Amino acid sequence: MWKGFTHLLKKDLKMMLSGKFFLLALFSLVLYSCYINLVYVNLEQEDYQVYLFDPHGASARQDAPSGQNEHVTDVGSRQELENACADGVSIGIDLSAGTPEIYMLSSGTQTADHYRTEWGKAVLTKIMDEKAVLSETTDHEVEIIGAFDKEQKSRREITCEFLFFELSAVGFLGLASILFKEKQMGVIRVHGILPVHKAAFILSKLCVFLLSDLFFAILLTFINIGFGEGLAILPGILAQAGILSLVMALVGFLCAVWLPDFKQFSLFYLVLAVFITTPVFLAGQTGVSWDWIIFHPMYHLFTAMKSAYFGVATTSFPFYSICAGTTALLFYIAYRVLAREMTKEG
Amino acid sequence: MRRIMKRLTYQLKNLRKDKLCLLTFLLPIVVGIVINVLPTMNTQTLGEMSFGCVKSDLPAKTVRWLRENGTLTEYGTLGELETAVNDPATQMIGVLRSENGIRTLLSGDELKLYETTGKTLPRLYDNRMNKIAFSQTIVPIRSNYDGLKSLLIVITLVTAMFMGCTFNSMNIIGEKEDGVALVNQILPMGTGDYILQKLTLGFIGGCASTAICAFLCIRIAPAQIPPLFLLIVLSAYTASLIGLFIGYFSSGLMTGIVYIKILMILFLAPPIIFYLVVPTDNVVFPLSYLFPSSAAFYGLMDVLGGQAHRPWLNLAILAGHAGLLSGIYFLIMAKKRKRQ
Amino acid sequence: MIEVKNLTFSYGKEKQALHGLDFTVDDGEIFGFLGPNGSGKSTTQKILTGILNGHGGFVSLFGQEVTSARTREFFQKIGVLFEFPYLYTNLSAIDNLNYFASFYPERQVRDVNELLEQLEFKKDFLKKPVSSYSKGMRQRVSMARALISNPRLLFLDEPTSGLDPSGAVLFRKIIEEERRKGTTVFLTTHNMVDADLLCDRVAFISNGNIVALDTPRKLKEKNSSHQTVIDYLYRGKREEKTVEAAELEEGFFFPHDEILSIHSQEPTLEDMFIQYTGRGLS
Repeated sequence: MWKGFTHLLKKDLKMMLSGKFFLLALFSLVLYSCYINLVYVNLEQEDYQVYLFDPHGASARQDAPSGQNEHVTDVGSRQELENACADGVSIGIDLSAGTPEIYMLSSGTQTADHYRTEWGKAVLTKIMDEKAVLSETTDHEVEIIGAFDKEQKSRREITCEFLFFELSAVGFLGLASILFKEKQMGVIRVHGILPVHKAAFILSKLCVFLLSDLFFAILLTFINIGFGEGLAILPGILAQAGILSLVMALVGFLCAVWLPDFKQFSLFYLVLAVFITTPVFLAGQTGVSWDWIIFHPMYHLFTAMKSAYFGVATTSFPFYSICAGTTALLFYIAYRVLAREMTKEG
Repeated sequence: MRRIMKRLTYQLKNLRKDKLCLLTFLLPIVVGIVINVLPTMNTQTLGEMSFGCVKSDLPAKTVRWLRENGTLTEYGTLGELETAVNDPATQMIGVLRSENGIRTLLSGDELKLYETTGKTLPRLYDNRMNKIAFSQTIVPIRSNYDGLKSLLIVITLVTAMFMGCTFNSMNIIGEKEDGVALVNQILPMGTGDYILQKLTLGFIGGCASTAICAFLCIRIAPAQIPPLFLLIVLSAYTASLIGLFIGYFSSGLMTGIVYIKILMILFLAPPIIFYLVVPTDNVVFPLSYLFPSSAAFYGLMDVLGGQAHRPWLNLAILAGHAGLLSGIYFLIMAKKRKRQ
Repeated sequence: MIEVKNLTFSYGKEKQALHGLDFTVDDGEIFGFLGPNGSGKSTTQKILTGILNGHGGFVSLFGQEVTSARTREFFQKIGVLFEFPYLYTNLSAIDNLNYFASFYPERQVRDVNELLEQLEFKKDFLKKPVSSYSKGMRQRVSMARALISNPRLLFLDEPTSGLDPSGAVLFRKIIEEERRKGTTVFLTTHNMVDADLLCDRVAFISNGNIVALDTPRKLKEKNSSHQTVIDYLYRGKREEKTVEAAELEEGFFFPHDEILSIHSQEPTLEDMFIQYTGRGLS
């Protein structure tokens, strides 16, 4: 019965290559890589801009050495100062009246406004008293404990997120589309009467998608992290990508067999994309904390993937046990559902 | 006119029974309701400084000062604090007691603002006692929304606006799949009638979904209503045009869904990321305007932020996109007619 | 009504589908267009209905060259039944027909309920979505769609496909009624019974060429063997005798006890189809 497995594998490979999803993966790879290399690594959040309105030349700034005041920009009028501060980030200092005034548009968050005031006060101290509050501290006052610089971190972070998204959303769609094609053509029914084990039908598809996902992960990692650094973290990434790929492919398989048509499947997909991946993305990208996120299974897969990208291997035994158990359970359900579908169609 | 409305009614009836369109319509509304009622969400974290310290390490006055300037999370051990500082998802600055005040822990991968903050924080802390005379004016934001909540509302509204393309693209693709596209060719219907019908479908879908969602989520001053209205109308029109393109280029349902998926990623991710990370005066920032959704996104953020004067730039950019896309579509259709 | 002279068409540079077709269809005529798969039937119908462009030669409908005739008025005068029932599957029969009817001038449109009744459409399904219909029911709604605008020229592609025998009889009756009203019918079919019973003239198309064009009767006569076969009993044994037409004219006698049956040996339209196109029906 297992002799037909290689034929199934060949057939699934051919179907995947002939489909547009292969091109889509290639397109995604190019798109993600362009975005990472051309846009994301260049993203920066600059220091607060300080705008100074000093019509009477009250500040001692002209004589001050440059450096800590590099973010201070002179403006010609109060109106100009207010306009410059309209972004809710910049800080204005108005020296036109007797008492200096720190002016700002609220950012909407009280603590952020307070911190901006502290910053403005420090700049004002420098301007009025020539006391360099904002000069950088000495080494013993600040300690750098991380292993990566901003660019390395950005590359790893975003590459991880793109890979996670690609595997959880696109891979899922890819397998389902092939299965729907087979369903429409009626060949699932044909497989019901072929001398091939039903499990081989599922396994061949899983193998094809696992291989393609791993290949995608390797390319995405090497292109965006670099060969040397990428190679060092690759085993961990492949392990996590493999787990995610298998789980998502099995979920895709189940849905494709269960749901009667592609339209219904796409509904399910929409719900999955919005409700399942969005919170994970928000939690991962913005550091927003939700107490309930620990009950989100995808969050743990995402965290493990992220750890792999930052060179920290997930060694938690319960994590791998749950992953293995889930995969086995999904495979069993997929097997049962497929058997029922074959009987039904037959 | 009566007959055009009759046709439109049947087309809407057809869409109403399409589960994908129905879900597309309802999804932003449901998310809007969820945003309004979700109580556990920590909505005060964006835009704030994030500090971490070891429990009982810092004096009470330092803790108080840090809490005045950002969020402070206490960890049981130094190791836990270091892990949190190193967490790539955060920009947390670790704060420890030192002989003269405080010292900071940085991961080294922070964005410039946080890096500077980490490096200057001990000095700022020292300066807190400086009794320099100054007055302070903080102009309150004309909005009831905090950072994350308004961000989520805007994401939902932009999704609703640009999901409008699903209605007419699915209608066109459905016609292709059911063969009605062939019937359309022998109906006494001009190209203009066809475009108008399909454009209206997407427009109605996008507008209605966004309007309901906005009604559920937004409470704004009357002065903000005109720019909000124009943002919704222009975005829904642009989305509808995009729906025409998707319908035109999709050979089947699967391809159409893939196109919509790519489009939603391209339309949602850049404005969110640019909004969160890139300052508006950065040279890269205008690049995000390549996507019409960015103009809608920033415009909505301004409306929610109570800045009625600013959405006009975004409206102009959005109108530019709408005009450009209309031009391209009409060119394609003219070329097609010429080829025929 | 339809005039076609030296009609050529090719899909791409090397895929010539039509090699210079010549035929005319008169007002009120039912014209059968018969040919095997891939012979150019659908291409011809698409050119005539204005769906396909870029043809060579001359094609005129209603006395006007088809490329310039493709106006709103032109489409108001034609009705087309496609090979497959193309309908909005989420809408009911009534909704579909009301929607399509809204494109035609009100004075021209037939009553939807009457039309469906004439097509013996099951009343229970009138308001149910098309997705719940059988193929035969969908075909009835499609036929109603083609007839809803009272077209002067009706293009029918495999009209009885998917119908049970009684449905096929009903459709033939409706097509006959259309002829009586003066509607011209361009019928594309594989069904030789339909063609034989309905068509005033038929054209056989093979590999993009018209290989025969005449009335079904004349085509059959032309290819008749002019023989009669008689089955008879003689001395308790069943026997068969082939008699030439000339023998019949002269009168003849043969020994027999009882004549069982007489077969004229006239070819069927299906025989003609195979003979002219070189291919069987598929």
